[in-house]
Amino acid sequence: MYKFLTLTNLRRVVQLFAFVFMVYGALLFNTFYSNDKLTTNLPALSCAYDKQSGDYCALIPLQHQFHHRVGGIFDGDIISSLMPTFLTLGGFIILIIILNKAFCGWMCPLGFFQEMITIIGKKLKIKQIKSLDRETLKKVRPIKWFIFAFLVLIFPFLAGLGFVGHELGNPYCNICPSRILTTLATGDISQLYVDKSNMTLMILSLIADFLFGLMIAMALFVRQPFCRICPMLPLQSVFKKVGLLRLVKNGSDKCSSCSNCAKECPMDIFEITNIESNKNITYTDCTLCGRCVEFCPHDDILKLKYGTFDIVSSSKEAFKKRNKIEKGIYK
Amino acid sequence: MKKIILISLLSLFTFGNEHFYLLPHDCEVGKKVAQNNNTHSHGSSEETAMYQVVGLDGSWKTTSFYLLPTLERQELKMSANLVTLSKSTYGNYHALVVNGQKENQFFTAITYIDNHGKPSKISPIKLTSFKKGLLEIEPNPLPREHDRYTALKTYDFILKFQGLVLANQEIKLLIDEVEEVIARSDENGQFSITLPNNFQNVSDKRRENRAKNFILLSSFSKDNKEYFTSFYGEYHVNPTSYWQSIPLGFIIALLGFLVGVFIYFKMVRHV
Repeated sequence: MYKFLTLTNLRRVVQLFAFVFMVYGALLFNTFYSNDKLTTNLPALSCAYDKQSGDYCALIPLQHQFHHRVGGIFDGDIISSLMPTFLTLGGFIILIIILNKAFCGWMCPLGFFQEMITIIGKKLKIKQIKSLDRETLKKVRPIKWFIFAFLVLIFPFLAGLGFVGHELGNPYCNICPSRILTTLATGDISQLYVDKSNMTLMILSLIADFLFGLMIAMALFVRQPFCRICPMLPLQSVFKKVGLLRLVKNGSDKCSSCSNCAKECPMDIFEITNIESNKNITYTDCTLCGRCVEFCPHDDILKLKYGTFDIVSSSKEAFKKRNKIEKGIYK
Repeated sequence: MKKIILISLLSLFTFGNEHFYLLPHDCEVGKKVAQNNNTHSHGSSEETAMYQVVGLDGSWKTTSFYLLPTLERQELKMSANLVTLSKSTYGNYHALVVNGQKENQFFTAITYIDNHGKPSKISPIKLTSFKKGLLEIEPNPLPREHDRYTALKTYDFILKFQGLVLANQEIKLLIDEVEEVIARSDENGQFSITLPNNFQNVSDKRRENRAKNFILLSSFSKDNKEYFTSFYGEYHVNPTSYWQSIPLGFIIALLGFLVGVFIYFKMVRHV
């Protein structure tokens, strides 16, 4: 039993509960309308198109506000045009202060789904691509910024001003695989569609369906494939400095000969191997899953800290135990 | 002569089937008031602040009110069978309620109007379950954000009498002046309806398709008193019946999966 008490297993239990709450929460907690939701500003991809969702992500109100409200600043109505966005970001910042980017690693339904697919891939003995090479990463990493800037902010804003069609009012939701996943999880197949009403919506729906299938196939052999291009990461990283939960590194010379942390990182953050002195290294791609801390073989080099408190620290003993559990030889 | 016989026959069939229901009144005055009220309702094809109570004549004593999302009640004046909405600055669902009485007969006609505005911070569940009349059809629940009444979808309701659930009563659905018994309330007062797909000349341009009206009706007799109720709503074309293809969606997702498999074989060759 003791062997199951690892950070990863604890995280999976939390993920499972979060998945049930975010996908089926309206059934369990009577949270049917937006007024009943806990926040409506979640830093995790929980979808409002899922009619049973317990709460939904900040990207939805942000797109709506940029589409319908923010353009009002050109009419001189600055306060009422920007107030809803400030309120959404205010709620978002409060959540980031509490759990920071752990919303991705511990709460996101789509992140959990991809992890489960990866486990299935391993069980099916599909050869795993442990890490993506740096060249690939350099190409992939900017995509999330592009998606965030254009699909969450710029296109909705331009649609609101009338420069582009209203079908670009919430383009990120139109391609989001979480919309398809969470609705399918409730038995609703209506979101897996190709829209033939106009060219823009057709392209967006084709991207969404294609991305959903691609994500499932890739999750069988690559860890967290969609997370690498998820626009939630850039939005979180804007505010990550205020988060109480963070990853801190106090590196030493030992780090130069060891790259366990980077190898175990599901997001392939190779910069984590850099020698830092007691520095907050919660990178843009970090989901605060804690695997780097679990698999660091040295005492107190990597830590998950909450404010000034150490929650988990790397240690030789913990690493030995963790390694045995991973290999299935722990007794 | 034929006409007289026909009217007599019709009146025989409709005797005791009193229907009172709300419908938007598509007049310029109503639209102007809606403009002044700054009403921007969700999903409604025509924005009007004026509603008519169909079936009402001058012999009925009526009261009408507008229940805001905050559950604050604004009394409304009726002129003949017309009622005009007052201004509300709140977003989310509002209830327009008309209650009427004539001797031993009572009716309650209700519709829910979803406006943009400031948050009320009160759940619409409290608005729907708030007692608004003697006999009432309560949506369980109203469509939430990113949803609206749509053809071929099933919706749940509860029939309540004096705030308590009312079992085993007939529910009629009235669309395009055609009325049919569609459900019966169960022991918890609950019933479900599936809205029909009866739109004609549907355009692939979604905004060109007008919504259709549907009215749910029920009645109940007790102690020589008759109670009638109606719920008015608008329903829309189901896109998956026309311009959204789910089978094609599955095919594209499958294609994405196959491309993922192709990438896998390409990547493992280099590992």
